[in-house]
Amino acid sequence: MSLESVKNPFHIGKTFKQIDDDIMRPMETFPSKTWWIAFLIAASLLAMFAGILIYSFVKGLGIFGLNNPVGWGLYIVNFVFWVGIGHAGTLISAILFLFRQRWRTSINRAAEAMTIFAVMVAAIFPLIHVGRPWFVFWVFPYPNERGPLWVNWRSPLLWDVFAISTYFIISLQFWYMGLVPDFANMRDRQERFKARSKIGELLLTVKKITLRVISLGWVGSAKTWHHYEKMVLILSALATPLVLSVHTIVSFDFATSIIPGWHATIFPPYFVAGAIYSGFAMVLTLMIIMRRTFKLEDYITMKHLENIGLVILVTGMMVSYAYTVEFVIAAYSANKVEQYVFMNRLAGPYAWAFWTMFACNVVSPHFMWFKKLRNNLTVLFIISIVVNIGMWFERFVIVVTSLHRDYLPSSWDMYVPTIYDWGMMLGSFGVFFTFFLLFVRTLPVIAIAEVKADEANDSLHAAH
Amino acid sequence: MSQAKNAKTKFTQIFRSVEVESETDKRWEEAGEFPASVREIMQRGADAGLTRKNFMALMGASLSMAGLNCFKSPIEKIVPYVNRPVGHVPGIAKYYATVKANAVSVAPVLVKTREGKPLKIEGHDDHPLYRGAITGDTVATIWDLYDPDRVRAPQKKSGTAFAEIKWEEAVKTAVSALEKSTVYIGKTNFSPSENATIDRLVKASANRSRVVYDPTSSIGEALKGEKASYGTNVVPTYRFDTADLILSLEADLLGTWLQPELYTKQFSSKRDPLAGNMNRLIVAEANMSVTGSNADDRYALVSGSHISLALGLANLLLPGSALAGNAQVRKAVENYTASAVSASTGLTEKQIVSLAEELKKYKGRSLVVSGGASAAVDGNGISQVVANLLNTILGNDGKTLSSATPFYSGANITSDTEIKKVISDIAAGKIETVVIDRANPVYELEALGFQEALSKAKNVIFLGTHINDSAALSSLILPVSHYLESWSDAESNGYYYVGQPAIRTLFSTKSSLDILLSLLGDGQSANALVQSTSQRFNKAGWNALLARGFTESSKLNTGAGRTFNAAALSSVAANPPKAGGYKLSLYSSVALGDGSGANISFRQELPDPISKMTWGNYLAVSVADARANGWKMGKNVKITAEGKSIEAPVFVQPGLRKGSVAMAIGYGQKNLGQVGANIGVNAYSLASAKSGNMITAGIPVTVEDASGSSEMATTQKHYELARERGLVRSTTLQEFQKNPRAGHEHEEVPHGGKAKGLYTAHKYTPYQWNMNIDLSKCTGCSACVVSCYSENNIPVVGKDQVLVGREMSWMRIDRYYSYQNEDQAKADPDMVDPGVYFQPVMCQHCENAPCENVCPVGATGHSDDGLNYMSYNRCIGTRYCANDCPFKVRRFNYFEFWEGKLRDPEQFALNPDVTVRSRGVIEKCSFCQQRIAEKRQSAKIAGRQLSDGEIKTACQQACPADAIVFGNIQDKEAKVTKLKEDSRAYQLLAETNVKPAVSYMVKIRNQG
Repeated sequence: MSLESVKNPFHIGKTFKQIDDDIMRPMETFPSKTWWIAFLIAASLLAMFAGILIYSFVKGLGIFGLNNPVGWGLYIVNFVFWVGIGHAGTLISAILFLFRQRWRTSINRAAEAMTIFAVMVAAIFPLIHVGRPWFVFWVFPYPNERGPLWVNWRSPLLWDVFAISTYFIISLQFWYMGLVPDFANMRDRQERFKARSKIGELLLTVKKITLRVISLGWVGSAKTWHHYEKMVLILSALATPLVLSVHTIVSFDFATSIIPGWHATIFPPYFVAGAIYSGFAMVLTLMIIMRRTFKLEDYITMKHLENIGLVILVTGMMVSYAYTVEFVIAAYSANKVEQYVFMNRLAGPYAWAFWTMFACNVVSPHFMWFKKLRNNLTVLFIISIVVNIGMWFERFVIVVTSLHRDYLPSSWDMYVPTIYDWGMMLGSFGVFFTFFLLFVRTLPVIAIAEVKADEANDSLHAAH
Repeated sequence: MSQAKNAKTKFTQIFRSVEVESETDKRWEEAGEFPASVREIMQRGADAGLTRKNFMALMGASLSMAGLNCFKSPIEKIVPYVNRPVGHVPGIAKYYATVKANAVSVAPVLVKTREGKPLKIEGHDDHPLYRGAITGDTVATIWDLYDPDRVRAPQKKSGTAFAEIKWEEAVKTAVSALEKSTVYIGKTNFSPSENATIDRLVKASANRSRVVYDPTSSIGEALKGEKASYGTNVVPTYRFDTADLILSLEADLLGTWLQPELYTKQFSSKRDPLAGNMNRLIVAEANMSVTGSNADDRYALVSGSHISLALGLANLLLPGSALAGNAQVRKAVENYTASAVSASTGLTEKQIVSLAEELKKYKGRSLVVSGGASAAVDGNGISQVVANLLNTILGNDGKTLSSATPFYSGANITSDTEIKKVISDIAAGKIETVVIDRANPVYELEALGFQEALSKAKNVIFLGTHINDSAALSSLILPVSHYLESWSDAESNGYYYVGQPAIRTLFSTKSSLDILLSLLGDGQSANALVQSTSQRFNKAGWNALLARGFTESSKLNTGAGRTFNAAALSSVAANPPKAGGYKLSLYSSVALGDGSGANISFRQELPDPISKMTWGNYLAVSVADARANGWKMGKNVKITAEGKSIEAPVFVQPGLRKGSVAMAIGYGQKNLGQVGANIGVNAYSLASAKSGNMITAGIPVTVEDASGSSEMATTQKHYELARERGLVRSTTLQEFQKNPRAGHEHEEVPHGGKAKGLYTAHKYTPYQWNMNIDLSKCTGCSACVVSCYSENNIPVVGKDQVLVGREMSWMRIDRYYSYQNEDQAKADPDMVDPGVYFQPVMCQHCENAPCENVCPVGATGHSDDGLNYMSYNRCIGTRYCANDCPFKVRRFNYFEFWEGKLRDPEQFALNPDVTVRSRGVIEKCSFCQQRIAEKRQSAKIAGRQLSDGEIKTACQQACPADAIVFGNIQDKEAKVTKLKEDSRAYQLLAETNVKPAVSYMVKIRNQG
């Protein structure tokens, strides 16, 4: 180990060719058996998702466990969960970029892809959970012949529409712009491939043309790079507030309502912290799997994973703090209804969900205090899964336990998810992983150009 | 175009061009069919002598013909009247006065019809007694009319199945069967015309007899007791509006007993705490009934021990009373000492003595009533006898009750001994023909072994509307029309009612009177008979009678007190029976009554006022027994009485004493229709017949655990915290008189002081609709709920959906059990004596409505007359509004409940003024916006303001207690404005600053 690498734990110390070969290997070889199995599972879950969706369109939302006091169930739980997952990517790309956190370089591409797919999955839920999905386009303010009938700007659901669509568009743009130098790289590498048949030749031509188009005529000149760096900086600045705004607005769905357990001013920061918490946990899960299967240990090092572990520790404590504040405020408020809701979380019929959340979200991150555990892949992997389970339950606790017992005890009831509810939840993972698995085989999972730039900088410094 | 003109191709046979059809016109052929240029068109037109006008006409015709299809469209007769009936305007409802009379009650009603179809049953406001009072069951009879499962034509059994036959043949078959020895089995009957006709039919031959029975023991028990006490065959008229103290022994006078709507009207007229006009209601009963839950003091008894209590009270009150010198009476009651009665009833001696002391204070202005299935302990009317005894001792007879203008003076009841003899005669083949008239003895008289006997009868002729358990075993079914299709009459309370048809028979049915007359064969029509009967009562002329629906046959007066026949007490046990073991009482439920209307899903889904249970019955058990046996809600148990056993789920019912169990009749019919068959269990099968009489109260039973449990489709599962959260507020009359603000102890005020809120306040037109509900008057009877369903096209969803919590009721009646304070709650851990509170909750039409803000598409909003409106066709169904409603009154259509689900002719019951909601939209109470719009339009046309009380919502109109007031809060003189400013008024969840438009009045209990 050189002196340099001790000083900079993120220095890879490989030639550019090696880097290209390492990162592009998954795209240039035939998929492994593991990939096929994973893809088949994910695609079948996606098919199930689509099947249940069609069934619910035909029959009605009654196939789910929703009822009168609990009008929102697993759909909204999943929605908030996936939006939360979608936070880490932009945070890593934009905010960590602005803060000059070099370790983001190796993980930002995959994290951004995760963001895109998670936001896509999340955005499906509010659109399909309406009673008449064929009219869901009415939530968009467009000139129409009905008056015109306009949307209701007071509704947080409408704010959601804008918050999420803006976030999605900016994230997609950011991701694509980051990919342009790598597309150019791929375009240039195409020269080495020769087709063995007519069809192969045709496919190769299509691929070449596509890559030419999407690399936007990248030439890699100093001027290009100069413009490119400026653009990344501007996009980062634009995306940064969005990271905070999306989940703030999602939390408004609850915070602006009148339902005890929802109506709380701490919700925006609490939701953002929770989103980062769950997002990083998901990144951790994906990175651990990816570096192992694609042999990217040199690029995504233990140091990366350890840093993610630290983020989880910090955000986990922020989330724990928010939980505590909620209870303290309820106790302090002298509002009996509010107090009942929180007692009901602790000891009511859904207490199991609360305590699952508590164990996963409040207790588990504290293992990250220990360096040894932070450097243990198994521990990290388990913690990442546990945190995601906990964060899913947090949304379940918020949505369901607040609704099922509110003001008038006469309307209290239970929400029991049906097999279709669970099917949609599992199916949403199918949708996500189908996209993600396609991503790892078609696009470079690590931002090659950025890694190379960092490596080049290292060499420059080393030369001095 | 020179094709073969006469070629008969496949197409020319169907479509023939002009030239093929009439081979004379050659002009087109020569010139070619289509003109080549505009010039040629003009030329041809000029040649044909076309003017501009003709050309336009032809052009228009050809354009419109081009739009025609070549197939036959379905025939729809939408032909307008050639001669519109005078006074008939399509779209304007017409009302007809008629009467709904069945075996147990008479109700004057108005039938709302639109375009010739009955739509809704409403109370008759002009009736001096009823003043618009109506029960939910009567409102629900509109669905009886449109029940697709009604028998649609006469049917004759061939083999095991029924085959439709013609009426002539059916009557011929029946008449020949009647020549054999015949028994005519029917229920109590209010109709003078029918009773006379049945008597003529029975007396026409020596080998015919008539049986009249009443399995609900309401009229039956009263008739038997009256006969024993006074030797008369009438049920007296009760005047709850003149009694200052009402003691009910098992009589559910506000729920199911005799005329609950009228009694509620009378009772609530004396529940006005501000004017100090408050009566006192004391109820001693085993099961928790609607009446018991409204009692100022309720005494939970061991099932069937109310006779002991009554005799114990008589024992204490006898000295110094009119009957003090009567040795027979003294002998009957002397062993019923306070301590003996205490051991029998479960009450303390102190309670019994103080009750007697109180009754003493109300001599001559109190009223003791007893009756119903849960009172029938001996089948001889003893409960009515002891009530008569107490009324005589207290000097009430002739003051608060009257036999001069009786409630019932129709067909006399047949004793159980005679019924048993008839049954054995049928079994022995001595009676060959059995006529069952609108009754279900196979189901109701199971305990007396009716079904086994019936199989021996050669001919069974059934008159009725549905193939019920009895009809299924009959050989001939004569379908009876609904009362809205029939001429009928009734006599009750000194009034003569005439029932007129509001629609032609939907099916090939006949009115009961017509069928009876045709069996007599004298060719008279029902109409003619009713007209001639009416002349006995009516002086004002036939048309005036029809317009009003009723006439006063004799002045309502109380008459003189009668002499009590002490011999009626001879059957009383020398000593009160000891309590112990499980004792079962049967009762009529508010929703189903005797079960004859059980095929109506709206009745099945009406939550029981007390248990909030839908779609089935259960065994109500006490909290103490449930705890001792580890029974949870829905646990299946096996109930055994006299060797017969049935299985039913347990319902843990507060208000029951240890050892008392109860079960509703009307359920568990095996045949009835697609909806009503096999729902719940038949409680009649547990009735005791050991004594020879059918006994439905205080039956000793054993209750054992059975396997598994059943799902309980209740609409309300929680009742805690109602007082702590200030939802239902109550106080006693004494407290209220000291402090008019009593009851508001848990009031919270909105936070934020003078904060104005984000949005500008609403501006209102001269109208801002508000509602006020007096919890002192509301009895929980649920007539409003049924009326709301009928008015607003609300769907029923079925048991599986109620179980998930998706009932669609726009207004519900929340029922809470609560104690005045902690000490009371601690003193009664088994909840034998909880306070019961009813609170109707519909959309509160908040001024700061949380639901309005959150809808992304603006489908719900605030109108300028203060309504929180819902625009169904804009709703996309996010359900955000339902979540954000603190009252949880918004309902979501999780499935399609109407389209394709209606069976012909159910669709006719839908109100054309109210949108039928599709799947995926939210719906809720609209304050009957269609009614507001209708009156506003007519006021606008007349160029005036609406007057107070002009608009009545459907719930308000149905409420027999007058608990609901609706009006314009901008009008300072309006009743609703005054009530809102009253010291008793409060709003639900006022602390959330949603500003509801509905206010409630603190419940005042007049406690001792």
